[in-house]
This record gives sequence, C-alpha cells and structure tokens, in this order.
Amino acid sequence: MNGQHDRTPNRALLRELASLLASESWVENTTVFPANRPDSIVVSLEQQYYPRKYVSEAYIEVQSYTNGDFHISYVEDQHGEKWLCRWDRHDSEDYTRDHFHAPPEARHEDGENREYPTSLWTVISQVVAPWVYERMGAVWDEFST
Amino acid sequence: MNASDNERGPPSSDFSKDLGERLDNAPADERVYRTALELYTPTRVVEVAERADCSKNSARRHLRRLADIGVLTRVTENPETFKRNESYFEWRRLNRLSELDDDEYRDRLGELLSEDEVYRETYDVETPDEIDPLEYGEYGDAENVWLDLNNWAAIRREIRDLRRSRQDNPVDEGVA
Repeated sequence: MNGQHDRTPNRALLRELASLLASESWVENTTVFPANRPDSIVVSLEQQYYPRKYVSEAYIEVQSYTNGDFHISYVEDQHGEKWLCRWDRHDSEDYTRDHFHAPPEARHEDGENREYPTSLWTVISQVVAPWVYERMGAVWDEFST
Repeated sequence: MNASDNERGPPSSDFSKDLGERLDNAPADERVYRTALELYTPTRVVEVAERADCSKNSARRHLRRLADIGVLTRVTENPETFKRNESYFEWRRLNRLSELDDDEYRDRLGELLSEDEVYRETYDVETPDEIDPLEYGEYGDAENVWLDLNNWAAIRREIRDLRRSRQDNPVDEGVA
C-alpha cells in the first residue's frame, strides 16, 4: 500500500474463475468487470442460504493482479448495514504479505497475518469457500438470537 | 427468489469440497492453463507439474503449446522456464474493447464517466493521484481509501483504453 494505482488486473484469470464459480450450487450468478468495479468479478451468493429478514444480499468480490496481489472481499448487506471481511495478498507496512481483515468492518487495524496457498484457485477452494460455508451456518445462529 | 424464511436454510453439505474436487478432476490441459495464468515469474516445468498435479511430460507438452499460441513466453531453454506473455493479454483486452458495438461502447463509456464524476465529487479532486497517501486517513480507513482510489484509477484506465480503442479523446476531454 504505497499510493500507487498502477497494478494490472489478471483479467484472464478472473474470467476463468467467474465461469468456474457460475455453475456452483452456492452461487446465484457472477458479474465480470461491472462498470462500477471494472477490475473485479462479483460473485452473488445463493439467497436461499440466508435469512431474508437479516441479510438482503451477500456476495464475494475478487480482484487479482499480475504482480501476484489479490483482494477477496466477502460482503453481507444486512439491510443497509454492510458486514464484511477481506483476504489480502499485497505488501503492507503492518502485516505479512498474506493477511486477513476481520469482520464486521475489515478495517486496516482489523488485520491478522496469514499464510495462503500459492494459487488463487486453491485460496478460493480451500480458504474462502469453506469459510463461506461456515458463515452460512453461523448467520442462522446470529439471526435467531 | 422470494422464498420465505421457512423455505430457506443453511446449505446441507460443505460445497467447498465439491469445488476442490472439480478443480482437481479437471482435464490436465485445463489444470495447466489455470496454473499458467498465474505464472508471474519464470517458472520451471517441474513446479508447474506439481501445482497442476500432473506428470512433468504432460505439463511440458501443455506449456509448450501455450507458448506456441502466445499465452506464455519461454524464458529459458535449459532448464525450461515459462512465464505469462503480458503483451498477449494486453492485446486480448484491447481486441475485446475494439469489438464492442456502438451501443455497448456508448453504454459502457457513459457508465464509467458517471462513476468517474461521482469519485471527483466525493474526493473533490480531478484524479486519484492528487491525493497524498499520507492523507488517506483523513477520508476514512486508510487501507479502504487506498482500495477505493484503486477502483477509481481502474475506472479512469478503462475510459482511456475504451477511447483509445476508437481513437477517441483522452479521459478528460469532453463530457459524455
């Protein structure tokens, strides 16, 4: 994080990833490079796995760059209130290159050092997807208390 | 879509396992291609074979094919190493932009320009580079401001590339 904004998105990888995830049972649909997020794919999560009164929508946004950096955000829209966290790979003054920004706000100070698998494919399948599965269970507990 | 909450509930099984299996069970050429898209630095065949979970011979064959069609560059011959050919991907992007029909082009450019406008109002500057990184904290959480400015820069880059694809004006000339 040095004020530079000149990273090149790995668009070919993001397109492949979107088409892989589009046919997953837990994914409602994927959007590739929407005009308001032109470097990202947005993966909307299946709504029936969330209590409607508590979560109006949930999605994952993935950014991947040709210097190896990535940002993977999980966002729940709790009827206007955003609940989010983020898996990151980028140089940071305060954390290791691989780190996680914890929910509910994913602020810089909510960072925790992590070590992820090398491949983004494996980060998605072995880190993010299991976490989303857990979250889809936890959200029902939170909702009923 | 409008299922009531009693038709809703958590997923019945851990879907992440299925996703892992789908990736593992894909044909070898697909697994090598997925790995190839992440070869940001010169990488040896044996490492690609390991990451794509296939034989060294199979990895080599697919890597050479990807180098033949321009996706990868063969950096060294002995031992053989490969990396992404960034100019191929850049060409593919510009080609995609130039293939938009007039309506798609106008719609996309219009949306991007209005996003750009919102950012200029929000930060009260003309470009993201005008904000000193030391001042990010004044706008909110410094890291989230950085990411937000990244997105703004991406919007401006796409406006520029779109216009270049039609030999149109640079980003700041004229208003949509």
